[in-house]
This record gives sequence, structure tokens and C-alpha cells, in this order.
Amino acid sequence: MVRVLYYCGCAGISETETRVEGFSGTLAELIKRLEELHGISFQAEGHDLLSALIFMINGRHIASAGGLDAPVSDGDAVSIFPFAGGG
Amino acid sequence: MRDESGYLAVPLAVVREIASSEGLGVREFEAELLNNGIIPYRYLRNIGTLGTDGQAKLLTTSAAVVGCGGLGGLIVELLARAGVGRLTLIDGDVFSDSNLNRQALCTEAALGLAKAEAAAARVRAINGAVETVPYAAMLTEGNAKAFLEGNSIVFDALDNLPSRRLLLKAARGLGITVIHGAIAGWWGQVCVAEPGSEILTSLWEGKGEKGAETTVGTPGFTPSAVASLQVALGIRTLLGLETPASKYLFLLNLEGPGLERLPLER
Repeated sequence: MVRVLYYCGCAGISETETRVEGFSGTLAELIKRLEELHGISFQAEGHDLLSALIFMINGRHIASAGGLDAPVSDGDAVSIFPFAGGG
Repeated sequence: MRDESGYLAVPLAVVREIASSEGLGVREFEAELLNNGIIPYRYLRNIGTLGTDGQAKLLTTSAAVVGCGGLGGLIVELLARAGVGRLTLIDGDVFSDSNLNRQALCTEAALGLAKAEAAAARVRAINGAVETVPYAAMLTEGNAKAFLEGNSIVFDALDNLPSRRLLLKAARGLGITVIHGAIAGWWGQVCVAEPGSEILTSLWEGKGEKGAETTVGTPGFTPSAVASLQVALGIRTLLGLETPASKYLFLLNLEGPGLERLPLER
């Protein structure tokens, strides 16, 4: 099982966690699965996916793990939250 | 005189009078009093939490605040009240109408005034013992080292990624811990980035100049929650108190869940 944790109401998802059973693939494939499950799009209009949201796998940012090609498999926890930059 | 909790405490007017007659600076004299178990009344409500040693130590510390707007204005206020000894205040901007919804230092009368100067004036009004070093200038590659040198921590209270990246790079070079805060709508994030930490570089990988705040804005209730957490973590860092903060990214969601901690891989 892969645990997906949503922080700060990202993409308008009301749940805080989705458990995806029997998944093994890339982060991009997991995102597609989640979009199908929730009937939403993580990609804001006019923005690419990685410019608006931050993805971490097991507390590690995906930048150092292959970006959207990062492997995700059983036992992993994926965290998703918006990029906030205001002050 | 003794306070109801049993502390021997001295009013501000007396502290000033004795310091002046002894030819001492107020901050120096306050630290000396604390080191002898005597509490300047102004810090009395801090002592149960920070201790006399902690309060005395705070008076000898230096912190920089980069960005004196939404987050920074509140951070400056809290640091001055806490008695952090020396504050470097950096912001090249002036107050404008759109700051009135959230920036504590922005009043109608302050529109057009330099934020760094307003921050220094606020510190002086709250706590005359705190030394202020205001720079009414944007942080640049050229001035960052000179502006930040000598500080133990720096508060990242900026509002754009190019400046945040520049601050992080300069702080790393100087071995200064960055207390990062950012806001967007109902959300905020805070983390403590020690000089060797890669967390902020990672979070900002592939990101543009601004974040979700370009869409959801920056309402007034979010900065105070984020600024308070930044200051609490900053003071713990200054005092060398044990804190697991650098192992977490704190995510604030005022839509409901409140504060959540995301554990970071070390």
C-alpha cells in the first residue's frame, strides 16, 4: 500500500489521505491514478505540475530522486502540498 | 521588590536610572541583573519559560530579519519584546496600500515610508535596549555578506524566490541558520534550515518566482501564525535549546487541520 498525504487542501481534495493498494510505478503514474480516483487535476491551468506543487516521497523531495520519474512502491508515503512563497 | 511569584524584580525606570548613573548600557545592565537573579520587570513574564539564564543570553544574541512586511513586521515585534539584543532589519521596499491588510508596521500614516526604518522605529519604541541595524535596501549578491555577518540566525520573511535563494546562499556561506517562513492564502510553511541543510533548495527546485499566493493572496490572519512559529523556533535556536525542528517541515492549514509536521529524511 502507498499512503498519499495531502497538506493544505492541494488541488481542492477534501481528504487528507488516500491509500493506494497494489501500486508500483513512477510518481507520474501515481499522480494519474490519483486524478482518476478523485476526478480532479493536480495541474493548475497555465502551470506545469512541478511549478505549483511540492511532492515528497518518505520525507525526501523528489528533486533528488528522479522528479516525476521517481519510483513509488509498497510502503512509501507520498506527501503533496502547494508551493507557498508569500511573506 | 518581589513579584507575586517570588522573583526579585526591578521596574524599567529604575533600570534606566541606575544604568545611566553607572555609565552602563541598558542592555548590558539588564543582562548583569539577570545574571544575579534579578529580573527587569519587562521580562518577568518570559522567565518561567526562558529562565533568567535564557533571558540574559537572549540579550547578547544577534538576529537578522530579511523582509519587514507581513511576516517580518510581526517577527520584529516579537523579537524586540523578547529582548533579542541586536536586530539587523533588511527591506528595500516602502509601504503601499496593499500592505494594509496584513503588515503590522503598515498604517495609513506609514504609506510611502521605508519598511526597514519603520521596523527599527517600532523596535526602539518597544525596547530601547535592543540595538537596531536597519538597511533600507534589497538584499543583493553584493551586499548580503556585509548585511548578514555577525548574526547567529536569519529570518527569511521574503516574498519572492530569487531573493530567498540569494539569502539562503549567503547564510550558508556565513554558517547562519535560516528560519524560513512562507504564506499563501490559508496556508503557511516554516522550517529551520541549518547551514548544511538541503531542504529549502529541494523545495524550491523547478519553482518560479512566486507560489500559490499569486492566486490565493495573503490574507491577514496567516502571517501571525507563521511568524509566531518562526520566532519560537528562532529563539530556541538562539538559546541552543534542544529542538527537533530541523527534522520537520511545518505546514499550517488554517482551513481546518491547523499545524501539521512533515518528517524530513536526514
